[in-house]
Amino acid sequence: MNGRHETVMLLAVYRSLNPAEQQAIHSHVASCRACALRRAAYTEVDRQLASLSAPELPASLSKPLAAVLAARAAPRGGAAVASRVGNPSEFRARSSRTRRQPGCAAAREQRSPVVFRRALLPIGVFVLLTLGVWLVIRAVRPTQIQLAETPSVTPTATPLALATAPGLALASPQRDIVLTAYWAADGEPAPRPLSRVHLVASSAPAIAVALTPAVLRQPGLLGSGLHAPPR
Amino acid sequence: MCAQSEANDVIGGLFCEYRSAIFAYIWRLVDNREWAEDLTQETFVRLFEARRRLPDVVNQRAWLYRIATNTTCNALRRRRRFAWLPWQAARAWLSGEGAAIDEIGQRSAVEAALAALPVAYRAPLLMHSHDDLTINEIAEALEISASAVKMRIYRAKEMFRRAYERENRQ
Repeated sequence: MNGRHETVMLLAVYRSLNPAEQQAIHSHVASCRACALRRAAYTEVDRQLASLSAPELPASLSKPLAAVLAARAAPRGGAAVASRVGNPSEFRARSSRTRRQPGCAAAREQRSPVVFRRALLPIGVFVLLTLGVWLVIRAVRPTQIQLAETPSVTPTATPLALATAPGLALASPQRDIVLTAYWAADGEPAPRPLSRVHLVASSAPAIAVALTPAVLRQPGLLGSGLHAPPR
Repeated sequence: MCAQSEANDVIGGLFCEYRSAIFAYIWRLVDNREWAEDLTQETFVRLFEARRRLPDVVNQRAWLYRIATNTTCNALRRRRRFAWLPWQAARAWLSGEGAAIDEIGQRSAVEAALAALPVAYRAPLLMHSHDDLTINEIAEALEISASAVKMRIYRAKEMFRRAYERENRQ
């Protein structure tokens, strides 16, 4: 044995050791009560985990592999593809060939408008949402905008709050708007605000637009709130 | 053509032999039945797509667990990045009453203690103590050295013991 730490580590993987290592551990454990107790504890862990019952297999996995592959192919390629997967291997081989061929112009032509449409959709939603909120709030008198009942933050869905922030800020030039994003830190009982950004009417759209990707990238973001602080 | 059909047979055999084990393994990593079902399917689709590499694979079981682990870890990473929780759900989540726990109801202390472990430790512990993989197989599956596997299993067992004692006290 090279040292106590290594001995303890080997105790944890005792049953995977080769016979020579097992023999060395065995003779050590015979004379060391602490290691004997530890080995018993690790054996108990192995026993507990080995006794975990196997979950019931879902119906989708009880079928043969060909059916599973066909089921996975269906949403990607539609019903016609699924019906072709009488021989799924043939289908998968064919689809991977199509993907990998560099000169496959048809595949490229099909893909690019989809990518373009996918990029357009969030932009369109963002513009429409901002415009809609702006129009609604302009219709109400801007001086009476009450974004929250109290200075405390009313949490809203984060993407919505971020998307509507510029519109709200533009529509209420008399007031500041505070955008608060919440993150949960490990081990903390409650989420804490880690970022507060005052969106003043003139600079709000630029700030909000610049902020959105940065906020959305943060791991563990739980939500955000908008409120107008009292003057 | 013959080699391809042979590879298909091998993949089919791996599916029959290991689908239950892989489903249970993934379920215990993600703690959600539907998600585990989806990821298990994804694992075998990836295995099937990679079947041309089969002749180079020395240990097929380790290879399968490697694909399952990578598929699951990628999915967990994606969820951490994009999980938007409603406010009330977030509070419940913070107080440890997540939907996953509701879903499986009253779980045993062993399952609860296992769920308390980080995935990086839960994965080797499950492979070692539940699925009986050797140290070398786990090393291959996790793409780390054998000594790193031993260290992780040792730490995982220590964490598990502490978590299990906590569960029993509650």
